[in-house]
Amino acid sequence: MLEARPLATKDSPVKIAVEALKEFSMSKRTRDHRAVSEMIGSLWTFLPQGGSLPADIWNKRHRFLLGLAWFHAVVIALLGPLVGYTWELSLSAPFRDGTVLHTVAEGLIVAVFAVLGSYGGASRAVRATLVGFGLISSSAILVHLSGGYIELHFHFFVMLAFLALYQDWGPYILAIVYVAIHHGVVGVLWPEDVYNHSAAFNAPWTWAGIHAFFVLWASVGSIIAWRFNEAALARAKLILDVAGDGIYGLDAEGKITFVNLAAARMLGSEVKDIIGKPMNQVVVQTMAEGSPSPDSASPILLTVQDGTPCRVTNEIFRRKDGTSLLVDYVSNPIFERDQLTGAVVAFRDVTYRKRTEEELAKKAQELARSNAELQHFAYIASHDLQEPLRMVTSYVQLLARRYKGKLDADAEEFIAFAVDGATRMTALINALLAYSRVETKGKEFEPVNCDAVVDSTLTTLQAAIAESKAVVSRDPLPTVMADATQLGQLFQNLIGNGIKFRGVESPRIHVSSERNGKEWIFSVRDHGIGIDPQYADRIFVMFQRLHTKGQYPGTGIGLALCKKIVERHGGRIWVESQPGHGATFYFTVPQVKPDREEERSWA
Amino acid sequence: MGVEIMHGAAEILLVEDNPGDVRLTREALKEGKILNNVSVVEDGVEALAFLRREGKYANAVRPDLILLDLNLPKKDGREVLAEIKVDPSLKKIPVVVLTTSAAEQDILKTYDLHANCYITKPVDLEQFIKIVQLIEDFWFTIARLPSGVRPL
Repeated sequence: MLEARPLATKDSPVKIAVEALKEFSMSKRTRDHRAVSEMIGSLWTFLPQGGSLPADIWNKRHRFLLGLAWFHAVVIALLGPLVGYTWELSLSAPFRDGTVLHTVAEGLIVAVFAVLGSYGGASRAVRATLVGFGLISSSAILVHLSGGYIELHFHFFVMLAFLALYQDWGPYILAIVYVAIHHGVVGVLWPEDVYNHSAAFNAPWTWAGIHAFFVLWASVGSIIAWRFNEAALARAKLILDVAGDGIYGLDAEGKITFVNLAAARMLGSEVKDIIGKPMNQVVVQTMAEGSPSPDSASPILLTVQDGTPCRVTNEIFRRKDGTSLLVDYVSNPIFERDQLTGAVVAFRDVTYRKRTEEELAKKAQELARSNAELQHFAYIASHDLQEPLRMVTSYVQLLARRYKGKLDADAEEFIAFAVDGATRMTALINALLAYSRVETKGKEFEPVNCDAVVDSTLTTLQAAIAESKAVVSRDPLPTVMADATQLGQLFQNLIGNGIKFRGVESPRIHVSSERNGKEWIFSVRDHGIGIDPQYADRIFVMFQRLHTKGQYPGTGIGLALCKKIVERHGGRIWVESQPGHGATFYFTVPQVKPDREEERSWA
Repeated sequence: MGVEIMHGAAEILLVEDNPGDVRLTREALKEGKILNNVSVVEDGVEALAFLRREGKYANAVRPDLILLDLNLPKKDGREVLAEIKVDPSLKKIPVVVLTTSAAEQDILKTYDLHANCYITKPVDLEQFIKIVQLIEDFWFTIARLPSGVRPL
């Protein structure tokens, strides 16, 4: 993709000549000649290729040089009357010096080339060469009209300087060959029409060679400048062409002046077919309902007209074959010396992104719906499950109550099991209900004083604390953004676990917190039975239990609920423990609500 | 206790579609301190017919207390409550909502409809019996109701 490509594919005469030289050198199979051939090869890569000017720039320069040719045609034609030549009207007059008709005829020669050079059907190289012919001829004519006045030969170099604007080989080769042949032939036939010194009169071809050599030498300097100019342009073009976005330029009339490969590909055209066309023939912007936008509604043309930059998303560009693409684009005005001269448009095909976005939005919507359904289901299920369960519990209990002492020991035991089962089921359903409510019934976060939350939790756990002779202590705790009820549930579960999973001694539980960057880390430490680290993750999964119900009763939901609450608050929960050495549960709470601005701090 | 004896048995209307709950409530009230007479209707339409003495309830006794479940067939407890509380002849009768639901929106809604109190049925039988007896005790011995609520 990034490898350098020749800038023009057309074979210029220079290339042919160099290739021939290479052939010649390669035929001698000696190391020296191979070195020469390599030198010629690197010379070849140094030489500019021509034809690299963007169409709009070339056209502008061509128009200027045509103007220059016409200027010379007119000045030369007017020289006769101005200098006071004779107004002789005869068939031979145009061919004779000193007549007005002669200068008019000379002017006409230049004008003919200007006319031919204007013909748009010819290639750039041909048109450049034709204009070059006109301009170099005007130099030759001026030298001739001055009677070979040597200082007028400077005019050749002036014309050569102007012709450098074409950045093409044609005018240079033409100038060198023209000067050599013209000076030689005319020097032999009418020496005083080119030279005004006797050395030249005596050896016209030598002097033709000398003049041609200087034209060649001037050309070399100019070609080197061209080469560097072209390299800079090539780099800019390479950057444009490797860009993933489509980029094109517009002139003040809304015609496309340049276009990169990506743009051409996306618009389904070739670069050469796009350049020079009015934008609305290549890119048809479409209104939301599908009809083509009127030009007045196009923000791009607005940029061209009054310089307003614009950024448009999700616009439809219609290709000439009727297919369309969804794009985001920016259009920026081009100012040259405070003069609005056009615009540059960069666009990006967002069809794929848009489709992905839509799919994602659809999936998110489906997920939200199924999630909501699930939450609702869990809520209803746990709610409606309570009713029959209450019947089972109540009537088994009623049975025990009514027939106390009248049943045998087996019956009493069966009833006890039935009541225990139903009671545990109730606890399970309540825990599930609490779990499903974390999201559905969660409250807005607000500043919550954790000291107060933990203290009120201890009040709730009073009976369990008293029964187990637990000692629960806490450090001063911060205020965090949270749902106070859920934070209470969290502490209640963690402290409750510390009491439940005690060792032989009475439980000692300590609650503390520390700040860690932008979050608070809370810890609940106990000295109970601890947890084997290999189960450290499993305990947070619903219904995962490490003990039989006989050893430690429980629903298997408590820590899953804790995890869900912590995650709703944007934090993490984990445990560090060794069996027999107690456990420390950690959880984090961000210092601010995650989607609030950073500046707010509730510490 | 003197007041109740003067008026005879306390009349209670239980609006409940679950026979299990009806029986439990009856059992609990049977163990209560106050002599009571429980009438039971199974849906909201029946409940209103009973209160307005329509159709087969032409000779129905006007209750001193209504125990109302929320989820009922035909016309649910909320509608029954709303109708009772806009009816000038019925609105003075205390209505105790006795339901399985502990949902916040149910509690809010029933108090908006002027329920006299809202109680969630406890799962445990002992608790349930205790609560039913507490209701009876509160409304018939502690609370004072306007005289003439019930025709003598």
